Amino acid sequence: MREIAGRLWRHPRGRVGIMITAAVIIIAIAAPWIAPYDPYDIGQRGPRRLPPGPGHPLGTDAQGKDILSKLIYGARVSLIVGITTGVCVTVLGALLGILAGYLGGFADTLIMRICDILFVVPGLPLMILLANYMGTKFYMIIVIFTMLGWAGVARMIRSQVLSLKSRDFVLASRSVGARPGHIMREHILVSVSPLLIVNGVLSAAGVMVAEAGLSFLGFGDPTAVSWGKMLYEAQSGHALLFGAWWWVIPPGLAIFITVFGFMMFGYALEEVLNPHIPRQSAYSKLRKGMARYAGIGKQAGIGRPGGGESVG
Amino acid sequence: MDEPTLVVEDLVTWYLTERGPIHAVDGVSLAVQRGETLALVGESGCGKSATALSIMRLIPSPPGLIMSGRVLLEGRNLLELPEPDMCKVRGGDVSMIFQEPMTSLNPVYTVGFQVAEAILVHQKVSEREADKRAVELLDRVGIASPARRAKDFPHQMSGGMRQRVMIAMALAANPKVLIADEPTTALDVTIQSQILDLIRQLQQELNMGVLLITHDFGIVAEVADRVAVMYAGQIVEEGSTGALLECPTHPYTRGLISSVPKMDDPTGTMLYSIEGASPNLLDPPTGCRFAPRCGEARPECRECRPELESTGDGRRVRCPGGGGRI
Amino acid sequence: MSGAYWARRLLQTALILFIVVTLNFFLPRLTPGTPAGHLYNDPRLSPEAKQEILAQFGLDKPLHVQYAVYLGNLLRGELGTSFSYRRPVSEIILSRIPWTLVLTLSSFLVSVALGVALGAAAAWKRGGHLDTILLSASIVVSALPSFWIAMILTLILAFYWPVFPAYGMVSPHVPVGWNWAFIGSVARHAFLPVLSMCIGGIVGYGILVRNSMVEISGEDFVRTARAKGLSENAALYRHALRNAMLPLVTRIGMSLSGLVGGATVIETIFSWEGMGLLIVEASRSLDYPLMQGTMLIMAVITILANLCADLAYARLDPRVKLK
Repeated sequence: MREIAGRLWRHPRGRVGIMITAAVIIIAIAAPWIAPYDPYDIGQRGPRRLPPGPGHPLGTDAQGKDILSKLIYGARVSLIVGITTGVCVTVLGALLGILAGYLGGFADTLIMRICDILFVVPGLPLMILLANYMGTKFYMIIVIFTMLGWAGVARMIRSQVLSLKSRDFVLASRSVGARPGHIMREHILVSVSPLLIVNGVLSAAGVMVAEAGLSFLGFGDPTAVSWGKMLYEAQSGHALLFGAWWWVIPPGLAIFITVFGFMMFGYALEEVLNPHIPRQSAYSKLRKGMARYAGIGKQAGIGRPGGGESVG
Repeated sequence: MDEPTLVVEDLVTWYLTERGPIHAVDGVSLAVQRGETLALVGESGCGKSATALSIMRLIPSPPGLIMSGRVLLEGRNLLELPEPDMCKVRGGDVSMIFQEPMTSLNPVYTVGFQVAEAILVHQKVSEREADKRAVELLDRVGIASPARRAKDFPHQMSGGMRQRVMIAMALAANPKVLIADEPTTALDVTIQSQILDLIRQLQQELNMGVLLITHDFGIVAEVADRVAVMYAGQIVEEGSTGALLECPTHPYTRGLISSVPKMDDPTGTMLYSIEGASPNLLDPPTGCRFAPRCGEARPECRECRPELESTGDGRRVRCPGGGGRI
Repeated sequence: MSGAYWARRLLQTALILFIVVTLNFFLPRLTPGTPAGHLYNDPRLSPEAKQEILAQFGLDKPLHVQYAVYLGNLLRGELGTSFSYRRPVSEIILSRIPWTLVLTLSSFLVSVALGVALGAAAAWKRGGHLDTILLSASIVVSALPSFWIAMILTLILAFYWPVFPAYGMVSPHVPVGWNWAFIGSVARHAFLPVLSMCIGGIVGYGILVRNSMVEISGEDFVRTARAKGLSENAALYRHALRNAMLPLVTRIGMSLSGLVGGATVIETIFSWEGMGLLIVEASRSLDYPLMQGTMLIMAVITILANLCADLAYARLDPRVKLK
C-alpha cells in the first residue's frame, strides 16, 4: 500500500491528481473556517447581484449570498455525492457482476436482463423522473445514481470474471474443494480489485459531473449549496444575457478542477496498478530518441532511419 | 553455383528502449542461393526474427532502427531503396511468412480476397482474373475444394490450413526468395512435416531460395542445405547441414546439438543443457558473447570480440579457440 | 444470422418493452398524491369538481382497470393527454422530435467524421504532437461539463462578441417553412448548441478510433499486409481501419439512443424546444402523461437503435455468430 502510494507520487499525473483531490477535500472539510460567510445562514446576506469587489471577491448572487463562500461550501455536496456514489456503485456493481459471472445460470440471466433494461432507458430523463418520484434530498440523489450506475460496473466485472473463471488458478482451487464463496472472495475479487479501485475513482468523477447536471436542471437538492445549483441559478438568473461571468465561471471551473483531479488520480492509479500498459510518455520519448539516433547514423554516413515504417 | 540471390552484409539493427538501445542484430552476414534452403537457428531472442524483419524492412519503428549494413538482392541494396520500390520488392521478389497463422490473417476479409490482394499488388490483372489465380494458388498449396474455401474467413480454418493460405499469399508473385519465420512452431507435429514438405516442393518448382528460421534442429536436419547458427545477435557458426551436424565446431553449436535427446541414447541419460542464460543485449559483454557460458573459455575469449572466420570448405566459425575439435 | 436468433431477440425485446411499459404505469402511482394529486388537492375545489377532474383523467377507476385502459391505449398509439398543454401527448412529441434531431444529428455527423479523421491521424504517428494533444484534450474535455462549455461559449460568442444568438431556435418574424430565411435563421441559432455538443463528441470518437487503431496496427495481420507489398497507406486504410471500425460501430450504436434524449441540458440552456426540454418542462410541472409518453418513446427508440447497431456489427464482423 505504501509502495503504491510512493509510485503514485512519483508518477507525474498521479502527483497532480493527489494534490488536487487532497486540496478539494481539505477545502470541503475546512469550509466553516475558511469561507468568509456562511451561505446557510439567513442572517448573513449582503447586497444583491454585486460584481466582484471588496468584501465579496466573487460578488454576490440574486439573494445576496457571497459567491466565494458558496463555492467553498459547494465542494461538500460534490464530494459527498461523488465519493459515496462511487463507492456504492462499485460495491454493488462488483457484487452483482461477480455473482452473475461466476454463478452463471439463472442469476446471470436475471442480473443481465436487469442491466439490459437499465441500458435501454435513457439516463438523464430517467434520473429526472426518479428524482420527481423519490425526492431530491442529496441522499436520494445518491440512491438514484447508484440504482442507475451499477449496471455498467456489473457488466464490466462480469466479463472479467468470465475470463478468470476458466483460468488455471481457479480450476486448481476448485479441484481441491474450495467453495464458491471462498473462490469468489479470495481469487476473483482479489484479481479484479485493481480494476474496481480505478473504476471507483473514475466513477466518482463521472458522478460529480452528473450531479452537477442534475442540479443544473433544477432537480438537485434544493436546500443544499452545490456547484451545479449555482450554475442553475446563473442560468435562470439570465447571467448569460447580462454578462455576469462571475456567476458562470467559478462554479464550472470548480467542477472542472475537481473532476480533473480525480481523473488524473484514477488514470495514474491505473498505470501504477497495472504496469503492463505501456506508458504514453514512453512513446514520445522514443520518438525523440529515434531522431537522435537516426541523426547519429546519418552523420556517420550510415544508418537507414525508419528501417520499417510507423505501422506497428 | 552462380551468385547468391540474397546477400546480407554486416547488418546492424537496434531496438531503442528507455534504458538504451538493444543490439538485436549485431553485424550479421549471410547469403541465400536460389534453389537452396538456408536455416537460421538459435534460441528465442537471439535476433533471428529481427534479422528477417530487417531484410524485409518491416522492423517496427519506433522502437526499431536499422543502423548499418547492406542487404543485396541480386546486387540491389534493399536498404537504400525508396519506400515505393521496397513495396514492390516485398511480396514480389522477397516474401515472408510468419509464425502465428492464427493472427497473421485479417479476420474480416475472406481468404480468397487476401490471396487475390497479394496478386493484385504485383500484377496488372483484373479482379476476376486475380480471384481465379487465387483459387489456383490455394489448390497448389494443397487446400481441398479451393473454390469453396476461398470464400471462407480465417477463423473458419484450422491452423495448418491458415499457414497454407499464408504460403499461397507469399507465392502469389513468384518470389525469388522466401523467408519463413518459424512457420511450423505453432502447429501440430503431424501438420509440421506436411508444411515443410510443401515448402520444399514449392521451392523446387519455383527455384526459390528459402531462408528458414527455426529453433528446432530436427527441422534443420530435415530440410536445410546450409545452416547458420545465431547467438546474441551474431552468427557464430555457418556451414552445410551435413558437415555441421556431424562435427560442430563452435561450443554453442555443440551445446545445442547435444541438448537434443536422441532416439538411441541409453535410458537414464541425463538431459544436457547449456549452463547460464543468454546475455543482456542492452549491454552485451565485450569479447566473445558466449564466453560466460562456454566450458572451454580462455582469458582472451573475454577480452576481444572474435571475428567470423572461414575454416575452409564453406565453413565459418566465430571462435578463437575453434576449428578442428573433433 | 438465423431466424431462430431473431425470433428470440424479438421476444426478449417485447419482454423488455413490456416491463418498461408496466414500470412506466406504476411508478407515478407509487408515490402518494400522484399522478394528478396537485391538480385536485386544491382546497378551494368542491368535491364534485375533484371528482370531475379524476374522471376526466380516468383516475377514479380501480387500478387494474386503469392498467388495462393504459395498455389498450398504448396499442392504439394513444399516449394520453398532457396536463399542462391540454393536447395529445403524441402530437406534442411528434412536433418536438424534429427539433432535437436537428441538433443531435448535426453534432453526431460532425463528431464522427472529424473524430475518425483526428483519431486515425493521431494513431498514425503515435507519440507525435497530434497524439499527445488528443490524449490531453480527451482528459480535459471529459472533466468539463458540457453545459458549462455551452455557457462559456454563449458568454463569448453571444455576449462579448455577439456573433450568434444566445437562445431560441428561430429569430422572431421569420416565416416558418422551407425557405432560405428560415433555414438560415435556424442554422444560426443551432450553431452554438451543436458546437457545445461537438467538442465532447469529436474528442470522444477521436480517442476511441485512436486507441483501436494503435492496438490494431500492432496486430500481425497488418504486418502480413505490409509483407505482401502493400504500402503503409493501403495497409492502414484497407486492413487496420476496417478492423478499428468495429468498436466504433459499437460506440455509435450506444449513442444512437442519445439522438432523441441526449441534448437535454443543451436544450435547456438555449431554450431549444426539443424532446430534452420537453422532459424537463414536463417534470417541473409534474405533467405525468407527458413524462410517461416521452419515457416510452425514448425507450422504444433506444431498443430500435440497439437492434440496428447489432445488425450492423454482425454484418461487419464475420467472426460474430449470432446464435
